[in-house]
Amino acid sequence: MSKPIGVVLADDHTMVRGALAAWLNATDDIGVLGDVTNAEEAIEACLKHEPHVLVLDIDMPGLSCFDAARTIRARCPLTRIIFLSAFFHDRYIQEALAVEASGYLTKGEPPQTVEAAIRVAAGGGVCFSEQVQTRMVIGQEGARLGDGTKTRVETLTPRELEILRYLARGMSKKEIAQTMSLSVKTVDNHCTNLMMKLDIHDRVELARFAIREGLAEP
Amino acid sequence: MPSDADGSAERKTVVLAFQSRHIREILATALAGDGLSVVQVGTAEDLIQRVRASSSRVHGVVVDLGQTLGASSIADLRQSGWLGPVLLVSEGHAVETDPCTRQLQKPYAVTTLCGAVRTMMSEQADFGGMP
Repeated sequence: MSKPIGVVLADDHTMVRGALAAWLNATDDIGVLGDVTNAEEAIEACLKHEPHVLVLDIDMPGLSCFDAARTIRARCPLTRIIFLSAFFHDRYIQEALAVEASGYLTKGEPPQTVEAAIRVAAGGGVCFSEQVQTRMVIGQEGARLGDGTKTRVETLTPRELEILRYLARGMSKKEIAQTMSLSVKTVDNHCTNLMMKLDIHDRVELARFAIREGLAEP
Repeated sequence: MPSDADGSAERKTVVLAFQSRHIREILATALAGDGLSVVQVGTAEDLIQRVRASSSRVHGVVVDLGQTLGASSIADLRQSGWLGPVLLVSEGHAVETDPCTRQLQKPYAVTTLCGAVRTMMSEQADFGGMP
């Protein structure tokens, strides 16, 4: 009897593939429909089995796994792709996001993590490490990895920074609007945006933050 | 249906109306990690239908359906009588909306959107719940 979640595994290392297949087949809800050794075969297996999830090793010889992922996304749109790699490189994660992957795991993870990620992906979720989640940026072009070194202050525009300095001095929005020759509504919008970016939602905390970051005198 | 036993009945529900399935799934995962119950829709029609069907159980809406369609879908939501908080993701420049609609411009960090949704929900709580 087929299991609710069908998976294809693509990895050129027999031991990894075999161990993972055995682990997943021992679960009640995940069944391995096929296991292949390179990206070309991964495309064929996806076309044949239409799995819910493809677990795709990044570091295989032959066709690039990211090119294969693009083909699979186009031809099997319901198949979710989780990348598996020995490495945690920004470039790989960027490419995984660019091909709209549902996850990125390293081979250092225990099989339970892969099992859980497959369930999440099959259920319409994504599975990236917390480190990746906190750096993820959404733009016009989709999701990408932001600059991890960027501080919260660096996310503010020059105008938002200026308003933060004034707020930290205890000025009212009306006073700030007069000082900057802006409407109160515009100042209010900037305040809302900078509070969102900093995830700080009261003026006292904002002032403390500004002092801590050297933007205002204590 | 959420059950009382697992506490999910008390979780607030946010509807994510995003054209991009991938972005929707990334944000849904992040918001669910914040303890919210997340409903995903991909079109303006589904958004209106979903909110109409369970308006008292929807505590907030996040919309990214493109600049024009996003704003018009919010107008349709309001016309349907739903007056809860909305976060509109805008592209490039802010658009004219009602006072209960906040805006977030692209590009934005996933953590920023989560913070904005938390703020939206807490303000709604201060307001005293659903209209």
